[in-house]
Amino acid sequence: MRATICSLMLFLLILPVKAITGIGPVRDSAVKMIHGELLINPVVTCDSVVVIPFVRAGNLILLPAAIDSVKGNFILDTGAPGLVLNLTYFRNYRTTTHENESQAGLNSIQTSRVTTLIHKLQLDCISYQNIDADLVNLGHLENAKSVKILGLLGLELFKRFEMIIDYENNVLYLYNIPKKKKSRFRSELLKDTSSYQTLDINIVENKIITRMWVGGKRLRFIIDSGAEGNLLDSRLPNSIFDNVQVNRRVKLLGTGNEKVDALAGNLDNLRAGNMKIDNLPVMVTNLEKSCLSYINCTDGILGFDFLSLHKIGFNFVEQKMYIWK
Amino acid sequence: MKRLFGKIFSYLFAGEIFISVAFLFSVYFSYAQEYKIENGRMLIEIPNNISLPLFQNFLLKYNLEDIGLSELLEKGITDSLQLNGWKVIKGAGNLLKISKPFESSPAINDPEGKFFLSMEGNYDLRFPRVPEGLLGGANNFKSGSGFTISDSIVHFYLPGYLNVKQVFVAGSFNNWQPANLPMMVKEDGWVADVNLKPGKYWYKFIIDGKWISDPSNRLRENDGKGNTNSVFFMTNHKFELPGFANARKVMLSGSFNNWSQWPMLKSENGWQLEAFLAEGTHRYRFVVDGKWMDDPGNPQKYPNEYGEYNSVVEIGAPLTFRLNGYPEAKKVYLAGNFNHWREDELMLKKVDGGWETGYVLGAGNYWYRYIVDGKSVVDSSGMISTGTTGGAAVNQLIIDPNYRFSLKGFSDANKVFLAGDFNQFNPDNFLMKRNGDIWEMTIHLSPGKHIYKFIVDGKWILDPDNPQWEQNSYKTGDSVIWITESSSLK
Repeated sequence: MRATICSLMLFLLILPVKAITGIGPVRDSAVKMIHGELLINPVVTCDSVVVIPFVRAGNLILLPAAIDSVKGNFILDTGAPGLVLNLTYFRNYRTTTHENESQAGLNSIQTSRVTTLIHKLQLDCISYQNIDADLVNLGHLENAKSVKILGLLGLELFKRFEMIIDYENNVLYLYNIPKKKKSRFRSELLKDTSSYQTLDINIVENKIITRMWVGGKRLRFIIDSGAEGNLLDSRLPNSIFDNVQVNRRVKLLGTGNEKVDALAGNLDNLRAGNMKIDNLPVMVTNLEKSCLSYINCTDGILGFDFLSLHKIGFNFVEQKMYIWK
Repeated sequence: MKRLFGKIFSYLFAGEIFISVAFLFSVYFSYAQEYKIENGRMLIEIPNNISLPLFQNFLLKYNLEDIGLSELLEKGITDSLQLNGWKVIKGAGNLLKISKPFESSPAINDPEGKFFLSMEGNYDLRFPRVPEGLLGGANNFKSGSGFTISDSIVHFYLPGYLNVKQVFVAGSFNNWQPANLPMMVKEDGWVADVNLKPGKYWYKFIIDGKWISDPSNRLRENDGKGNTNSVFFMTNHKFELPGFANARKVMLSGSFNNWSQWPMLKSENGWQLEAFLAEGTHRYRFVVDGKWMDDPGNPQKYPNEYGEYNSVVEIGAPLTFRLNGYPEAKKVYLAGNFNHWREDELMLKKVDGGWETGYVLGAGNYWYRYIVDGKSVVDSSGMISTGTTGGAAVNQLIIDPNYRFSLKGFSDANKVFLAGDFNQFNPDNFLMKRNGDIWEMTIHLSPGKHIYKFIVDGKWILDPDNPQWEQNSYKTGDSVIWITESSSLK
């Protein structure tokens, strides 16, 4: 009987999610989150903290890691859902094509999502066994950055961790959150509670969403370590743009080689908790194509120019963000 | 405020209180031009009687020079504006409003496209010590010659800022690590010693956590993202011109600065300039108060196209070009892609059994031929290639080869060529050589990523032994290799 009720409840829980996944190209199965457990299980072989010094390619963080026997640089990309591999270096992997899931490539051509199963991902003393990876061409990115890029390390890989990014010293800290102390976990770096402030985040479709205020309006931002600049949607109300000082017209690389006109400016009066941020560099562009499937659209993206202002941390289990003062 | 001026406007046009507002009117308009965001569109507001300097400043400040606004104001033509997606709306009075909707950016859900969303088109983050194509550079500091250099140590110096706590220097030489090179406070400023090889470097100072470009250095480069870095050249050659004490201005012009002019600095006994010069042979002249001259202190010179001479400076060890035979010839010259194929510049000397000249070239791939009494001659003992100069045979010279391409099989093929980004995918200038059952070609490649294909009897193929390839715009793929600074032939 109990089993029947359980399965019925589970069915009811899954039902709306299934319906939602039908709307758009959901990259990550939402069912995983309903079960409350992740399919990716990192194994951490060192003591409590993993300290990884990183180098930068421009404003992107490059972490050394290995996929099976292939070693090289990966971009820490909290805006990517999970593990993404650069097809160029993984040609001999067996692939699965997901005909009903497509993604727009740089040339605006819809291509089916292609995935593979890798045996092992090793990031310092963290390893992941038998995980799925998306295969995409990152050749343009390599060319733009002039550095060999094996892939992207996305959010799903870090969901069991407290992550602290220290751009000033080029170090990434990862604390494996023990299952037993899940709700109370604070690493040593967070001992002095007066040195930082805590904000709520939501993980939606494997993206970090946070809410901040500009000119009396609440805006929803994606926190993305793979974005070099901050973006603000041009379709926001005019009152938001009273807080933007326009600096100049810029051309962003759009689809293919065509360039998209956008504006570079500085945003004032951004309130994150009780912190007020002025003079934040932003690019204003039309984000209509960047909506997630079931939280409508995002109002903007906060990338390097925001993340590098202060030391910044995340607890993905408790869904908190810590910003140092 | 705007409303108030709007009122003044209407009074003005009603012909009332004209004189009293004329002053305010002019003040208003000197501030009226605006570039802003409204209702999801970019909006430019500009009075059509704006003064030319003000207008030009406005275009420059906001990077609006290429949208066709000048044509509208000068000739009333809107074609270019419309072509660029702008719509002209008549504003109140003589206020022009031009607007354009924001175009959609690529989706953030595209794993690669997303990165380009926050990158400007010309964003380039490469900071190589000797960037490809860079032949030379000179520093330009507000006073004197800038940082002092002893042996290979540069003494970075930031004058002043004596009341700050901590200063660091960060740049391309330490991977922009912010806390890796602390500066020491001295009597009149901050100093740090950095060991550098000759070349080009980008840097900034970090003063109590705030990044600034060097206030005393005039050489700055924008990285395309609104960030400006200071540029420093670690020099390896000093140009000197003794005398000319009364000259007002002495400039240095040469192949290394594309024959533009760098100002020389007054020294104790004349004029001098320290410069970075890439490996190879450089031609130069001095310009003393507008008068061009070769370097009187340098005996080495080549004839130039004006019937005069260019002085020559060489960085690196010379190669000997030797053409055997031709004992009867009167004049033999060397011409190649390294001297723009000039046929009257590099003369060979008659030696025992042939002709010879020395010439310095940096690492790279070169093509050349000899001109024997006006006739093109190829050295049959050297490597020969075709296709570089319209199919005529030339000699090929690879200096510092660091990568060997090889293609197994295809034993029936007549000709196999190598083509890649390194030769603009020229289909017939890197002819591969047959060595057993392998076609081979060894060339010099700059550090970084390279893409290539083989052309077997006219058919373009991927390298079958290289699993790394990426898609190209023809959907036929290109093979991919990476070359590092330390890449060498095993």
